[in-house]
Amino acid sequence: MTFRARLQLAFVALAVVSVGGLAVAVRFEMTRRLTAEYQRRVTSLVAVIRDDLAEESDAIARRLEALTGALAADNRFRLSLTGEATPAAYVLDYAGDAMRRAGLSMLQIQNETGRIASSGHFRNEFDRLEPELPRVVARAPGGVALVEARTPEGPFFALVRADSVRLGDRWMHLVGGRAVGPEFLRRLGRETELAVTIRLPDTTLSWVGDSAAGTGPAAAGPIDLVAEFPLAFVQGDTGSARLADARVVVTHSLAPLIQLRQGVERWSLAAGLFAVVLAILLATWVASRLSRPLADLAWKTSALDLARLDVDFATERTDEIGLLARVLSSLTTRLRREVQRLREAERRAAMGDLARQVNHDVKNGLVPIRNVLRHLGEVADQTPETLSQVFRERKATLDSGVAYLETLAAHYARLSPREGGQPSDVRAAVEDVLQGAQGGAVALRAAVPPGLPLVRADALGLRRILENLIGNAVDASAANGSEKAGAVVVSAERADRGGGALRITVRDTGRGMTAAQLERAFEDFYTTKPGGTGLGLSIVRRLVADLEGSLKVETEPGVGTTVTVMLPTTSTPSTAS
Amino acid sequence: MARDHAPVPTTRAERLVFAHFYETLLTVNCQDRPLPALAERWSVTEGGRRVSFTLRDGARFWDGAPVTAQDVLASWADHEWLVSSAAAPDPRTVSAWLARLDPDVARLFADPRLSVTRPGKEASGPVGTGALRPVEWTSTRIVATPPGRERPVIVFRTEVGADPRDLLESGTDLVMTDDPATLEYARGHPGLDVVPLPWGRTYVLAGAGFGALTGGDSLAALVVSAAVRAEVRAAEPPFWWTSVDVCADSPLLGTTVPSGPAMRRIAYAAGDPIAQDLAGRIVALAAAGRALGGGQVRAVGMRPEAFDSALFVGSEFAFVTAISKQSHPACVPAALKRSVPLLDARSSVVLRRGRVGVAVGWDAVPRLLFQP
Repeated sequence: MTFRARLQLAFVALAVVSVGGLAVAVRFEMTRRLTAEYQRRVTSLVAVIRDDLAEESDAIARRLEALTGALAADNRFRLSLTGEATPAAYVLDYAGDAMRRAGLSMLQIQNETGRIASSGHFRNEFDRLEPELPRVVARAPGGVALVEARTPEGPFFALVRADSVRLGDRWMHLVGGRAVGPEFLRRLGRETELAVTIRLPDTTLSWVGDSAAGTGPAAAGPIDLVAEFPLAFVQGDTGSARLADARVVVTHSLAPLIQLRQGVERWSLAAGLFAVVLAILLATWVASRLSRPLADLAWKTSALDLARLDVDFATERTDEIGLLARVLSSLTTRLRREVQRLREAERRAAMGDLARQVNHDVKNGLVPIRNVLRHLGEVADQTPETLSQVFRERKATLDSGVAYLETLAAHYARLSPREGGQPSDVRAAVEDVLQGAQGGAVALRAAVPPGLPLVRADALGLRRILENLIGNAVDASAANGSEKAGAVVVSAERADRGGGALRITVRDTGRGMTAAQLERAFEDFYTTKPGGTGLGLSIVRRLVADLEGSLKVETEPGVGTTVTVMLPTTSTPSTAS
Repeated sequence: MARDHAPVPTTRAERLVFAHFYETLLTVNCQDRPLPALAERWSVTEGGRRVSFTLRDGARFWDGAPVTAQDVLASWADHEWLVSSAAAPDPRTVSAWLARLDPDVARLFADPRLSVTRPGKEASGPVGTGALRPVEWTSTRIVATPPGRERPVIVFRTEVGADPRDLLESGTDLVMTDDPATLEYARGHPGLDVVPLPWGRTYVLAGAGFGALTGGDSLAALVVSAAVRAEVRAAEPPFWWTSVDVCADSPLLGTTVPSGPAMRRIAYAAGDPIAQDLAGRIVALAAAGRALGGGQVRAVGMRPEAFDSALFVGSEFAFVTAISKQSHPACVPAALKRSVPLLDARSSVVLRRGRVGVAVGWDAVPRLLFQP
């Protein structure tokens, strides 16, 4: 992971953690405070509802009191009561009219035996016996109770009180009140978040009201706030009415709080995303500011090598990056000095090398000439009459040697080892070198097929490679320490099917090299031969490298050595046969 | 032949209004005797299978065209329930062969559905032969005059929710009502007369799910005394619906009535206060354990069309409904075949003295009397 990526990640993590932490803290604090506030509202609403119910009870009491007064003053009612056994129509209709005028939702007038003489909420309920109802209601705390009243269409609930009036020698009991329905509960609740319900005992009705009217849930949800207080409820039917406790339940829905919380979470998420984007942009900018000088230093450092130490690390910065730049600048300065010194030493070594190489090459060129001259001397001494013939036979070798020395001279004169432009025929070069070589007891053999492609090497360079390798092989084979005559085989073949390179192999049956010897074989002046210069293989190495070829040595002590040279070819095949 | 029949009255107000526009061959007086109307003579032969009518001389439509035997035949065209075949031997004589034997065969031809009409471009639809001809007809107001005359102008008005006393005080000459307060008011008013109409309706409790009465009293006796605010009496026979067939497509009782206490409902047609009171009384008696085996029963008011449909298929526990004593349909819903008559009810008309006179026939419809 790059330094820049790490910086960006660090910035994003910092932003997310900060915003997330802030959101959690805000959510927690908001929930705590709002829950407390809601609880206060619920508690205060309970007190208000108690007051409201007390006021409602007083209002019902006042209306009943007015009705009893009116009833006592109604002569027609008195006369109807004392008339026939069947209630007169006036009495039957009395409660309905009186209930509507008094603004009540329920009113029934009963005689001393509890028989309903007139019912306002259910006109045809006359004659029904409900003797306990007025007494039970009167016993309720505050004289007010919740009852389930009836209409032909179904029951409804009412908050009722009881009152009585004496008409002549009989008592009439009035039970009247106001309906407790969804509207009544909604009015008590006052606010939309607050729901008032009434939970009845021992009944499947858990509340009074119409759920479709939206007065609230039947039971508080697990996260709602709840407070409740008792309200007397007349339970049971005719003949079994008794008081029980209903509960007025005030529920504060936490839905708004949940919505608020979800809103905060949404905004936090949005802020988090915004912060992440901002952090990425900021981190990119800061990382760029921080990493660019480092990247510059890295780029300059990557450009350094021994041939190019003039990179300028100069800077005005005083921070760590400035320190690093100055250290690198100092390092390159030291390197420049050392390289200067090394080049000087190398130049001097190269001069010595050149001198030794010239010496070596001239000696190589002189060997065939000396051999021919020695041969001619022997002929002149022993068979002078054939001297002319032998001279003619060996003249080509002399010419070749002289030409080699001339070319060598021209070569050194140009101080350039590479001519490289003219392709060379390996087969001709091998035959030429083998012809001039003095194998002695060592058998020299060439295995170079005709038609091989030309190699991209100047003829002089190729000859020097072959002379050095063959010479070494002959020397090694002649001194292999066994009685059996050594052999040197020079072969050449295509390195691959498509051409492109030629593999030249010089294999001898000499004494081979140890690993330690092999390791140093290419060093200058390292030799295992008595009288050797130690330059042959190192020259070969340089020549092969100059020709963009490769060199491989496989050797085994006591078995022999195989040197393989790979040289690039041209597309032109050899014409030699 | 396509024909515009006289509109069939569906309410008591329409009965009153339409009776002045369209005539039947016969009418029946309040002593239950058939009287001539469009037909001046009639005879029943072939053991009650055939009825022949001779049309009134000078019977004319509003536009002056004479009423012919062919017009009568056309008015019977869609009433196979009564007339299986008919013939018109001459322009003033028609004979009908009846689809069923009925002791009151002549009275059946007083059914307003058999009014004689002719297609025309009147304000109300077909051309009639009645004493009044509508000249303006809207949903709340009908204006009529005698045919060929401009006076008197009779205005029929629909007044929903109005107090009849207010109508009388604001100049209305005739009000038909059940309201006891209005009748009491009229009886005490020196300028108004109260004419009670015949007992025209019998209220019954119909349905499959009742019958168990406790306390030894009959349901009729329990509910009739004070339950309703109208002029009523104990139901008296004949109860014609007990001898009429059940309509073929009215489901048998018990096949569609829902069971279970939650569905014990007594249905009534909303807008009929007598039915509402009776249903309420039965609910109260049931709650007191004195009717319907006790327990939870509820009353439910239904729109008239929904009520008729529910009664026909018997889809409620019970029904409180009014049956006309005069109308004799060919068949009745199955629910009516097992019904308990509760009471008879009648309406009254309140008349402004000296302004209008009425004649009341067997059909309990008052007809305005005009000076010729």
